[in-house]
Amino acid sequence: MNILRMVLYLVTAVITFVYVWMTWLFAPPEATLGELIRILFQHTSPALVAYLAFGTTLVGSVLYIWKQDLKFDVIGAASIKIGLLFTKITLISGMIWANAYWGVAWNWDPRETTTLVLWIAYACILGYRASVNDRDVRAQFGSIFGIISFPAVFLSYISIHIWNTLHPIVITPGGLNMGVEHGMTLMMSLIAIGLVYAVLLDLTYRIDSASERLMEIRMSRS
Amino acid sequence: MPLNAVEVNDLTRRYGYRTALRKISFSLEEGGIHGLFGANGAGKTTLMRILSTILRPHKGEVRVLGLDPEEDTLELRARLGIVGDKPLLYAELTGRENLRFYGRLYGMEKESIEKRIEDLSQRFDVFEWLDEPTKILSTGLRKRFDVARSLIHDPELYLLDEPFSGLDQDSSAVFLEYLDDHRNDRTVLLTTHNLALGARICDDYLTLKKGEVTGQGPISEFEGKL
Amino acid sequence: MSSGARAAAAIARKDIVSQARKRFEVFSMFLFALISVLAFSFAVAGQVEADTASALVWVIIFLTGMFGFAPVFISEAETGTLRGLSVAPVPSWSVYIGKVVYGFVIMGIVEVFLIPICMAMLNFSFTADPTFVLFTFAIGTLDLAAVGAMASALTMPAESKSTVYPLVYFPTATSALILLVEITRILVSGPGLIPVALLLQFLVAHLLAMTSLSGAVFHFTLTG
Repeated sequence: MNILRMVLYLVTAVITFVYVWMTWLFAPPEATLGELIRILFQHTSPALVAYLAFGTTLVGSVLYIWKQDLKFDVIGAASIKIGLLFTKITLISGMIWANAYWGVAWNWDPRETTTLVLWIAYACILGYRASVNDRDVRAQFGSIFGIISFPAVFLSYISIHIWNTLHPIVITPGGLNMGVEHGMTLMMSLIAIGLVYAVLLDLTYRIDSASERLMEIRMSRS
Repeated sequence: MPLNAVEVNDLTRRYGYRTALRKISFSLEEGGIHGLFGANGAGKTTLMRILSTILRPHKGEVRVLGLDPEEDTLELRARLGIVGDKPLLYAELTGRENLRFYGRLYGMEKESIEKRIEDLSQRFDVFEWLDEPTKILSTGLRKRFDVARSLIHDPELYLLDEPFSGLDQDSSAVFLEYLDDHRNDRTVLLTTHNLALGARICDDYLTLKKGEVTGQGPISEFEGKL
Repeated sequence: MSSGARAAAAIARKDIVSQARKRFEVFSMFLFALISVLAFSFAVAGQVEADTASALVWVIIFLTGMFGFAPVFISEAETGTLRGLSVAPVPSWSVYIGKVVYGFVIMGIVEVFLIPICMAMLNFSFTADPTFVLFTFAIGTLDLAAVGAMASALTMPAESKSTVYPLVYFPTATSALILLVEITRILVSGPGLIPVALLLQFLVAHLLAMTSLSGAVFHFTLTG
């Protein structure tokens, strides 16, 4: 294991610890929301990191089509898996929040719906990729799919501006719509979850490329 | 000095993790019928696809009719005629409609399309079948229409990938006769598993084995070995 | 007309003529749509509000598209004729656009019969604002055709295509469906052209984004 990776893991571990501490102990209860504010830190950051993950898939897809190097395809596909995980966390924490605040877990609010569509869309890409046998064709067509699905991310992101939704708008053009401590905690959670994403992407990429290498060796024997 | 219709330098193409073509280099002179022979998986189809602009090379340089398949794609395509083992005809459309459609794709004017359909249908003896939907035609007739289809725009280089598979004696004969007539003013690159047939009509040969060139020379030196 | 537009027109025309001769695809799309109307009317037992019923029309069109648009490229890949299009000296986007136009025409034919039947059976009316409705249907159908054609192109290399096609069609078409249902609902329930105009803008943006994005990457489905 090289030094850089060691440092990344260590920093991630420390920051994640700080993030947990800030979420549960440092941040004070909010004036109107009370303790419920703590759910927000497990909700907004995973959502933004999920968008980042799908953005990485987009970039990986474009690079694959351009360079025809399977490395980029492996990164793009790995990022889908992690993006799905964070979208799931977003949906579940959102449901916990909604249940506590409005008394109903699922409101068919446009933000909820478009985020669910987003999850299904990228899950569909994974299902689709599994149905294509030829490695090259899977990379080529999977990349194209990764590109044309990106508008779904965009729709999920802007949905609160299209419809008047129940969803509170936390991030406004004028800055964060919250107190200083809460803003700091949110920032920390974003950094921590971003780092967790980087670590997961690194691990998934290494596992996936190892199994591809194995396949390569098995194929070269035939 | 004769020009080269095809020039390939250090061409490499991978399929997934398999290398289909490994740093191959060769050139083919303009004019004549060139045979491309090799066992299954030797890389013939990959090479044909690269020459016909639908597969990108991963490394190396390719020039077809002096053009780069990646850069001058459309210009090159307009000068290529392609026949494979399956006829590229629409079953519901008649022979004439099929030929017209391809004529339009190749950017031809109405009058020249009609003129060309007239000529080709006489030449390949399909005149009386022109207005039947191609789905009711026999395999042989469909193949003749397919050959006419590939010639509609009078290409300079024919890329023929196993064109004789499933073709009866008569239909192959018409096709072979056409190729023979144009031996001097058109270039043909032909792959076939039928080595006897290949040896009879080709002027020279090029053999591939496991993605590498194993031999090239006049057909008289070809001993039917791959 | 540019050479690309000429090629697109030739491809759309060739497909429409073929379809006019075999007919069964459009006909089975229509029958499927009709069965969906029946299924929905069982589910809602005639108790449905006009705005919900009108939204159901889009759900039916969406589902009909799920297998109506599937053969647009898959059938050409199966017969092998796609090779002829991929080696033709025309820009790749023109092949895609030709197919989108074809998809739009076949779905349009189905809608011409389907919508009056829906209005009669589900008891609602689109006559309040016919120009807006016509525009919405034209843009919506074009959008679904654009998504459906691309999905069909992506399904070509997949195994068990009929299972995989919805996987590809659904994610991209759903974004359009959400907007269309919303627009139609507002149009039928009457007031509020201002929210409709905003939603229509997003629909047109989705159409433009999908066609330009698909047109740009379509090239790579024909060449490797």
